[in-house]
Amino acid sequence: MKLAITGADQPMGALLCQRLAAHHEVIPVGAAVDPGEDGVDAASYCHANLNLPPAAAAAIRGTDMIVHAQPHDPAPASGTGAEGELLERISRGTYVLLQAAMAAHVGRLILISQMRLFQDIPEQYIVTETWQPRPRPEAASLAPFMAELVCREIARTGRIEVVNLRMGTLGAADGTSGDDAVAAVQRALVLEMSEGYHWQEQHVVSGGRFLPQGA
Amino acid sequence: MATVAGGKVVIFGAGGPVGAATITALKEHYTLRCTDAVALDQIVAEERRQSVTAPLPELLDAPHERTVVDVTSYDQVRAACEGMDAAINLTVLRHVLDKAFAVNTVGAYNVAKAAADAGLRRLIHTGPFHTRMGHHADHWLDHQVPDDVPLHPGDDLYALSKYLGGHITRVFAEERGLEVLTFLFCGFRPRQITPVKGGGVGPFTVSWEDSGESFLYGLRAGDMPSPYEVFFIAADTPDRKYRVDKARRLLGWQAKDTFEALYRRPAG
Repeated sequence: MKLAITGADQPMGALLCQRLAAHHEVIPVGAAVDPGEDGVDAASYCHANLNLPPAAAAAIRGTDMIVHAQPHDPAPASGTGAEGELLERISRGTYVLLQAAMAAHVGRLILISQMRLFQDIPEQYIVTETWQPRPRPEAASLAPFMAELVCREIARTGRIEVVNLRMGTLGAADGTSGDDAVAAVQRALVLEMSEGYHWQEQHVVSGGRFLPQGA
Repeated sequence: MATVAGGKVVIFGAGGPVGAATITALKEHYTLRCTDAVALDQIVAEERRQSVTAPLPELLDAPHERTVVDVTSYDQVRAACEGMDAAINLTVLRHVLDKAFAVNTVGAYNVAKAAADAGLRRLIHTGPFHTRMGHHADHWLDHQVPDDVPLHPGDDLYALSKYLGGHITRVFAEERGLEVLTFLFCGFRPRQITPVKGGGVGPFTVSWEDSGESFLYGLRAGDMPSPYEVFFIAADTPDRKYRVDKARRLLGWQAKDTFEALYRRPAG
């Protein structure tokens, strides 16, 4: 399968590029000029501003599916307007990417979002995928939520399938291990969507309070 | 108590037709800071009307103020909120990718954050209710659709970018102690029914004049049941497509213009 993986210049995207390349043809896509992360194939790396439709279309050309890891740990912005820049990059970038995907008849996008969307829910609760995310009123917290909303609402139109994988901090004790992250994406690539829905979500955690009961 | 019975109100997007109607409705009751990305003087001088029948803003004398504010700049928005009691966000950019997310999503973030940081008592946010989105998850086939129904914007740039702004504003309301009323609009027409205009009235329509008055009621309303409340702002028409009773119950507002002449057969 040919995959475009966004966020290749950040830890989660880079890991997925590196590990999934053993099984698939991978196009690493990042906002930085150079990948910067170890293990990403510089030769196939695609520097793209996903806010721009031509760049997004070029980045996903010929791919079967897209792994959109950029919202999991987007490159931080700095200076005046940094919060707005981050929000626009993730919300508009996700919208443009999905538009490009639908135009190219890509059947599925796998979104890598954040378990942090639930961090303020009291610890005594068992949080599952049916719970509403509770982002903080901060751009960094809202950004992955914006990506989720864009994906969910566009998936609802029936023109593309989206699997939303919420993951914790890569390698952290209460986060998501590299092995679990890669395995979850592998499963999502072949997942059968249930009951005709075009949107499905899963929590992918390796330890800590969000570990599913009985795991 | 979040009621704003008097004092100072900043309006973002005051240069549009809803802004114009809002200025008219509020000017005798509040000191207004009218802002827009384009100078109001220029909008009036160049007669930049959204449509042939859309109103232009009045240019008010002191103590009212008018100034240029770009809602994509947090610093400008924060400065505009300084010393205010409430804010009204009427900004919108519909179909241009380069600005839609910046104004409708980031702008909503900047306004909500600035309102919370400045300690404003109430924010009235606005957005569209798209009656027909062209996909099976919209609400076009339903009747008696209530104000609080979840929106499903599909992939429409305007609807989706404003939808994100609404969620951002909700998060600020729930987490920062800011009371937010969100007014949803769809169709507008002038109060005056002219022979040329005629031809019936669609569901979810309000007159420009009634839209402006809804903000007066929104500012004066008592405490809300929750920090974030959504209201349909439309005339109550007998088609029963959209319920508009929540605004009557919680704000005491209902449209004066029902456009009955457009859906009632002439006598005889």
